[in-house]
Amino acid sequence: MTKRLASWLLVGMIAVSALAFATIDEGEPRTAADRAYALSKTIGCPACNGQSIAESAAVIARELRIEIAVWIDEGKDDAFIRARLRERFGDDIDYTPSGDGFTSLVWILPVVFGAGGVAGLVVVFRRWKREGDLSASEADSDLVAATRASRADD
Amino acid sequence: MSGDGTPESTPLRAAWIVVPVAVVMVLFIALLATRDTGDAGFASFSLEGQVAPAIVGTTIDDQPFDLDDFRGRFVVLNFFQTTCIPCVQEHPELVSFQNDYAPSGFATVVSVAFDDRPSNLRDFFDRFGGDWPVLASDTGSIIVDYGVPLVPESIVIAPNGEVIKKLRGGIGQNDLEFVIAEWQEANA
Repeated sequence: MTKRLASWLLVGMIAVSALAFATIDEGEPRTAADRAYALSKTIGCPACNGQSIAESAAVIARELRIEIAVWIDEGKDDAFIRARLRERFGDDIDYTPSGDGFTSLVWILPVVFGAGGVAGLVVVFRRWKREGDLSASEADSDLVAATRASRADD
Repeated sequence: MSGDGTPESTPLRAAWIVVPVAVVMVLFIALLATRDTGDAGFASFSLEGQVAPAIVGTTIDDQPFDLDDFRGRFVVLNFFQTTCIPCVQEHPELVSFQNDYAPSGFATVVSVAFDDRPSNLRDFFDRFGGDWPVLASDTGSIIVDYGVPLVPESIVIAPNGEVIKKLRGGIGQNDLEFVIAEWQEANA
């Protein structure tokens, strides 16, 4: 195994490990409070711009946090809670994008751009490799020799 | 793309990159431009035409309250806050509406306070008038049930308990009369 291949393998392993850590589910929240907090982080505050109800101090955010805790205590599952909130406040309250319709673009576009980027890199690396393999023609050698000779004369 | 590295091939190569990117960008912008805005998403309200969620509680006068007791008349469920200027501005309109329609049993206003103290509410009604049920305690679940992110908002409920319309922002008596007349016409 060459040194170069080993370094590429190392880079690949680090990238895959980072992706795995970032995407692996942390598992079920341990307590009802954990679950309420985890859910609140994915519910948008209807009275704020771009804040979840977990981080907003608005009255409606506080009331929604309380209501979510009550629903959890009543044994309601996350799907019920999300559906109820979407029904009352509109789809945009749910920060977990669905996989259908226009929203599916948030899943598709990163894959498309990622694949495009990888394809672009492959093309560029191949071109570099091909250019690196070029050998000087006889005319090139003559040109270099002539240039050297003229400089030596100077 | 020739790939021979000659200067003539550069514009062609650039076109191969720029044109597809431009097409994707134009399509994306067109999609975004034809979509509803985020505000419209939050504004969607699915209770219209459904039976109004139950409200049971106690008014600031310590009287028991049950929304079902108001079946047979129109109810204007007004969500407000004493410190909210548009709420103060719309209040005389609600008083006028109540004076015109409550004595005959045709309609009534019911206020739901948004994060307010009973003492503030009593002062508010003493100062600006209005005689109708005001709910102040445990109103959080009502606010969530009716999907009210901000005040003032008013929800008009039909005599059969059906939610007719949600009116965002300050309202006038004319707005309420229009909504009620429209519902009556549709259900004549």
